[in-house]
Amino acid sequence: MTCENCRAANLHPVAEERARKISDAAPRPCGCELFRMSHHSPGPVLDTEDLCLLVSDPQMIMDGWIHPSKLMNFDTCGQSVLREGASDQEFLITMGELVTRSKEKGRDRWCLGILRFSAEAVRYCASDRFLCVYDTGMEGKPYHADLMCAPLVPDNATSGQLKRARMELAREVLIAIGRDLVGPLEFRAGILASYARSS
Amino acid sequence: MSVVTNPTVLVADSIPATTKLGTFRSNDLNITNMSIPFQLMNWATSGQNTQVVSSSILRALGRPSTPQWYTADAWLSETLSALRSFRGTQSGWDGENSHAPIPETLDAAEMLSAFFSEAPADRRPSVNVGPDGFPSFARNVADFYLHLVVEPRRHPSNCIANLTWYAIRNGEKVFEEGVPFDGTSLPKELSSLLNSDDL
Repeated sequence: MTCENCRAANLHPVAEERARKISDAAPRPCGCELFRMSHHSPGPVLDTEDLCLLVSDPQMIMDGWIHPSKLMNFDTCGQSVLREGASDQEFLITMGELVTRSKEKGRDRWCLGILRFSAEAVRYCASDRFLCVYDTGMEGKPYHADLMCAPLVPDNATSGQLKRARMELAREVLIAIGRDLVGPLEFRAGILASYARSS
Repeated sequence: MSVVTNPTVLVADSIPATTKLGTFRSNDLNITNMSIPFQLMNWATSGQNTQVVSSSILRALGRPSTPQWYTADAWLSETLSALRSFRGTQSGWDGENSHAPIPETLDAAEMLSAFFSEAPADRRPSVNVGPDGFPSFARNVADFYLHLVVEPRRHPSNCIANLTWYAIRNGEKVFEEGVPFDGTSLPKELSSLLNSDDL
């Protein structure tokens, strides 16, 4: 059953293989979007929902655009975002985890802001499918979602072909996401202010 | 000037140990821990005569002593500082699944930065490290997009890294994969991309 296949793929233990597993679990592109992927999730992500990318490293941003090096994971482990329905507490937990885990590995991190964009903007490019947006909620973070895509090139493609496909996709996503960065002092009346650099 | 295979011997090879450059002697460089651009930046900011610094760097690079590309260049200073901030970080430095940065590619990225600093201001890219641990430069402005990844050199050779980039200039897409970078000059295709208005 596709629904169960999708949920099983979402729990695949090898992070870098998750996008392929989820893609393979459904018979059509982004097919798992139709199902509730996790029992922690409130349900599939609607096209009309806003998604929030937490920007927590100054090198992630260039002239307001997201740095494309941050957009190279869609066909492997995916890119984490929070849905607009996430509670303030969920934002705080997520930012806190990013900061703590990063610091443990030797890099300071703080909140530069939240980049907001609609699910529809990254799901469709003209009439074609673009990225898949899956409701990958987890314990304590039910409004977690992942941006992923189907394999970009055939299995017998060269490494150069794969790199080109990833780089082209990164550029398209960069434009689709846009530059609506809301600073930590402005986002939801400053709930993330404690993670701003000046604090 | 002999072919340089290791950026840490660039200046030491090029300036005799007994050569006086103001108060500087090439023996002053600590060539064991930090790459040459960073040593030079530290030296330059320690009260040395900036004209002497820039001319000695240019001489070391085997290029004519033209404008002070290094002195008071905020972009270069910020880029080198950003690259340094990634040194010593471990896998998971982004709070997620990123691989640890590879020191050799950070060294090469520093060398590359020196050449990028000579590009027109609106084409100088921002640096980040990607999930694969490779430094990555990018810029997205009107009529110009660049996403360049600094990869470890593939085979023992005179190059210090291989460069892969995807660019869009005046609507035309360009992709180059695995172009050798020897640390002494920009690959011709990249130089053309950055400095000329015509493809």
